[in-house]
Amino acid sequence: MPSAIGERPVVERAGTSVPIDTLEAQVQWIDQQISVADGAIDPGSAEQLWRKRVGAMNSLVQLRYVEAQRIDM
Amino acid sequence: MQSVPIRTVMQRVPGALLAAAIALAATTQVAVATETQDTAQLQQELDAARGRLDAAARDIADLSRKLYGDDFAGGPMPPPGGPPRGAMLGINVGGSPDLAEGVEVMGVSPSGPAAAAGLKSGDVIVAIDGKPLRKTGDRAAGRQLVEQMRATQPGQEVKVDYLRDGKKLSTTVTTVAAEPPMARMLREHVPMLEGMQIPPELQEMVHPGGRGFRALELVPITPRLGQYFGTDQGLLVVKAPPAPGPGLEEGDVILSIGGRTPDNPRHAFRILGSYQPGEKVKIEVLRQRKHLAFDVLMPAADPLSPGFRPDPPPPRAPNAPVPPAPPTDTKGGGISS
Repeated sequence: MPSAIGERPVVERAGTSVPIDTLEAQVQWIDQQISVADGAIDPGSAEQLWRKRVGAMNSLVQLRYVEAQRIDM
Repeated sequence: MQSVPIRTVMQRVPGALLAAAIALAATTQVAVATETQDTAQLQQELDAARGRLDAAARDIADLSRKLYGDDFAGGPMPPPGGPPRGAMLGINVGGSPDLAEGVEVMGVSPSGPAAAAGLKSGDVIVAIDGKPLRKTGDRAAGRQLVEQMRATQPGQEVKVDYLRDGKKLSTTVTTVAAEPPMARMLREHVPMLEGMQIPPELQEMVHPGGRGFRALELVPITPRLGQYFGTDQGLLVVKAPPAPGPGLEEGDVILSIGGRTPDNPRHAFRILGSYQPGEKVKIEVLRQRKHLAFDVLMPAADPLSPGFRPDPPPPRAPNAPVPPAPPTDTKGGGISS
């Protein structure tokens, strides 16, 4: 979904770029955790991680949209 | 039909034309007025919508910060024996079907190495560096992938063979450390926090946006920009935070922050974010083609917030502002520090 918004702008603004960077790192972290822990954690924990991933991706898409619109934050 | 003398026609035409022109002008004026009114109204609506979106964006940013901390608190911790080892591709293979051959990609981390290499959700990775991923006994193919990545050095390029829509494709992925830099930074700064929630002040550390830099906009220097500004590296300040802020000015080219050369704007933001409030950081810039270095006291709060104490202003360029001269070189040599 974030890729559908397009490339990141050349001019980067700290107010949006930093949270986006953080969220991307967060999703990467969750992905790694899910992958490494696959089969070794209970389904409840796995579901919790997936829910967090969905939440992080939602926030990421919204922030990418804001960034693409170049809205002051 | 009654004939009309040509003279009469000639006399009537200007009048008719004038009447038509007046009518047209009136119509146009009405149309323009309506259009202006519509445009103004649309502009108002657009401004209002932007305002709402702006407010929503602030909420998203704030909530994201909270979410960031929560995830470290709630997620499973690094495996016993230390931080995650090896490299990763930036994919999610958790819960993928237990295939006889290959591992299905359930998700691709945004802006991660796999995303950059073109991998997508639904692709089935069948081999890494030519080593097939096949289920053998109880060892699932996914487990083999994880183990293989643990033995891979971060930054190493790996060839990934995968199936997409039944076609076999290949790509090269430049791996990254299994632990994202930001997670590593948090762990190294406060080792005792492993498994605990990140306190707000530490979260603030990785979010310089709340400490006076939120409005900072940077763009990397391109060769053509470099000719104009007299340098072939650095980050151009397109928009500086409002005064009293960190002392950067629009048109400055940031060369280093705390002795470190930022590769790109995000890198610069991360460097700035690594300083604690109250710490001094030396920033080197080119201003009006002159080399300038000044200390910035990292603010504790956003300049716009009530509790913010302005820092002393940084030294200004010694000479009156002059437009940059045509380039004589692109290195910025001869500029005094």
